[in-house]
Amino acid sequence: MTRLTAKICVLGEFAVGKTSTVARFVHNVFSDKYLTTIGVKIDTKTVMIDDVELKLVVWDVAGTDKLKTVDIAYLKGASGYLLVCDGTRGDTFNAALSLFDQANAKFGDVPHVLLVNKHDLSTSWEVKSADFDGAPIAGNRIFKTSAKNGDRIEEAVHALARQILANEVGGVSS
Amino acid sequence: MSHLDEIRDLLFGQEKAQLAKLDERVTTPELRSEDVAAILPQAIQRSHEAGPALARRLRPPVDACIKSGLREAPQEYADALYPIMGPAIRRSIAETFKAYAQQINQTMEQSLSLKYLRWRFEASRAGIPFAQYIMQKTLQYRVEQGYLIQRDSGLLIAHVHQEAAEIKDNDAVSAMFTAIQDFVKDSFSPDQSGRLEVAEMGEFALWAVHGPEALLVCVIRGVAPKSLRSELQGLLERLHTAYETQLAHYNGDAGTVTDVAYDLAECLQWQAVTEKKAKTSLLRKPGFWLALALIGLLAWWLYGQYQKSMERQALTRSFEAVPGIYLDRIVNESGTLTIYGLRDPLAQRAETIVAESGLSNLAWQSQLRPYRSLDLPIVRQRVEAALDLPQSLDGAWQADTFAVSGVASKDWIARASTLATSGQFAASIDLSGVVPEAVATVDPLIEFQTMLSMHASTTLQFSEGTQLVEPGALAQLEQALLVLASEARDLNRVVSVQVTGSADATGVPATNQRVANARAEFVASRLRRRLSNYAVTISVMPADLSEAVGVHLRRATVVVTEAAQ
Repeated sequence: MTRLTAKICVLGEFAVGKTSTVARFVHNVFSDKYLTTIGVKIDTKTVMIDDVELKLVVWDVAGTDKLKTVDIAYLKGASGYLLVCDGTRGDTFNAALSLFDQANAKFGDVPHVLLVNKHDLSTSWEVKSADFDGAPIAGNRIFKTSAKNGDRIEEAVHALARQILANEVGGVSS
Repeated sequence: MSHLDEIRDLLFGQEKAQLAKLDERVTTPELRSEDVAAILPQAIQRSHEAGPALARRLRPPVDACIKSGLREAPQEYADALYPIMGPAIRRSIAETFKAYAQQINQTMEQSLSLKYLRWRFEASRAGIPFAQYIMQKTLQYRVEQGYLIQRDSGLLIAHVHQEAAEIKDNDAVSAMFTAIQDFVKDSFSPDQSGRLEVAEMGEFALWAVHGPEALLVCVIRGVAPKSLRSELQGLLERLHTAYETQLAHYNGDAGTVTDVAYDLAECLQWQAVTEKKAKTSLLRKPGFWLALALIGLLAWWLYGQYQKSMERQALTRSFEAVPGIYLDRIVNESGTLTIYGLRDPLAQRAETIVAESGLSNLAWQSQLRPYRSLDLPIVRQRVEAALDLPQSLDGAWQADTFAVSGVASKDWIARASTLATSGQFAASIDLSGVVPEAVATVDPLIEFQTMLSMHASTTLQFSEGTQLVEPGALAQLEQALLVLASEARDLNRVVSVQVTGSADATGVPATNQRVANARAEFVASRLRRRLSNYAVTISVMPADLSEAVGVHLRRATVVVTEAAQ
């Protein structure tokens, strides 16, 4: 069995449910107060993909009311990232796409998934499926999730883990 | 063969042969093996001297060989290891016991010393495990954990720690440190060039040293010397040199950096506190007072024991001095002196002996059992009690013989004779001086007259002055006169006694006169005293001074007659 460790970041606008989403799948090591004090909180999550045990070191970066380069800076050295937006707020979807563009520009094609959150309130969603089609992110990397009931979050994390492994194992010994 | 070939042979014949030879050496595995075998020892030597890389590379295959060999032929390995296994095991056991003994010594020392008892109290008050508290007190510093972290990603490359260190999720801690470092850098270093090198909280400190690919973060308990930083820096540089590629391209695959932790363990250093023995006054050391108190207690206890011993000896002497007591031993039983031995019922009581010995405050008890003593005073008491002398009898002891004299009833004489011949006393009873009371069948007057005639004249011999040659003779005369006087009273008659003192002609006549009178007075006064209850007239006659010389003339003559009515 191969054991790997990978850094992933969780990026997104303020109040889109990043921390709630992360809390759904991680092993809590530190208190949430770190988010408000130093702007980032670290948790870990171990996933098994085939015979590889992948330990994800999750950097939950505090959202801001406007885009800042500091969010992107945390991506340095990351093997992948989760973009989170709020389906009930269209502007957060656009902000997520903007973050994606910035990441792409700075770090190239890094494994990623987009979690469109608050699917439990899908009736009041501003983001429509048509918007996904026009997005630069592949459809199979976009997940309609709910931090409230945990819908598809594990699936999204596994999808990201598979991308990371495909990326890493391709070039480095297993 | 063409001309060209001929020319070629002519020109390069020798080289061709050499090339063919070389080709054969390169392509033939056997020959190549020979070549490698020839240079392999030297190559290994040089590689080993150059650094640990060869050893690291060789370890996996060597490990595999050994494992395979152990699996397939364990007996051969056992045989090969046999000569060294025994000594190794013995040594290991000896070392273990030695360490164990040291641990016991240290534990005993720690358990008993005041300092450690105080620490134990402080640890319990602070709610800290004692082991942890003692470490804080005895370690100047100790590197508890070492994190080697990839600089950009914050991924943990290797982690080492002390056995007792508390470990959280290493990967998360590593990432968090990196995040904090970024936070500090973003917040307080405008040009982003600053680096977090030291963070302190309570008894712990975080020291970070930075390298081009990785940073080394050490968690240190206590106060480390500044020289430690340069040592850690040197270690990080060596790690960069030895694992340059692995550090640069680390992608989270721990399998690529397995050896790093081995070298990283060098950072786990520590240093014990060197005890500074301050020259404090002896009087300020609690141990001194404790020792003094102990010595005082010991002295007090010893004095108590000495007192007890002296009391026991005094008691022993008192009991041993008393006739009729056989003392076996005196034992101190829980503070009470118990006297074991034998006591004749006629001997003094134990209470009396203790009281007379002056040990009235003593705690004691008697375990004396009754017995029959042969001590002379007791024997005498026993004889006198058994005989129960009537008033008319007198008794006198001479060594172990009790001589009885006087007048007694026939019944008493019979009883006394039985006792005298029974041998039950360790003493003799002499009844020869006992005269039975008058017998009714004899005429009292005739008997009186017979006795009077028997004692009509008695001569008592003196040696010098009034010293009787035979004191018994006077006693016998007294006894006889006593009986005679008694008889005379019964017959209503009076006995007259005349004493005449004599002296020989040796010396001055006046002195002889005085001596002769003194002899007569001596005898007369004895008789008067003895016969005071009877009607007996006792008179001293003028001295009879002889002109001759001779000891037989030193005498007193007692003439007994019946006084005229």
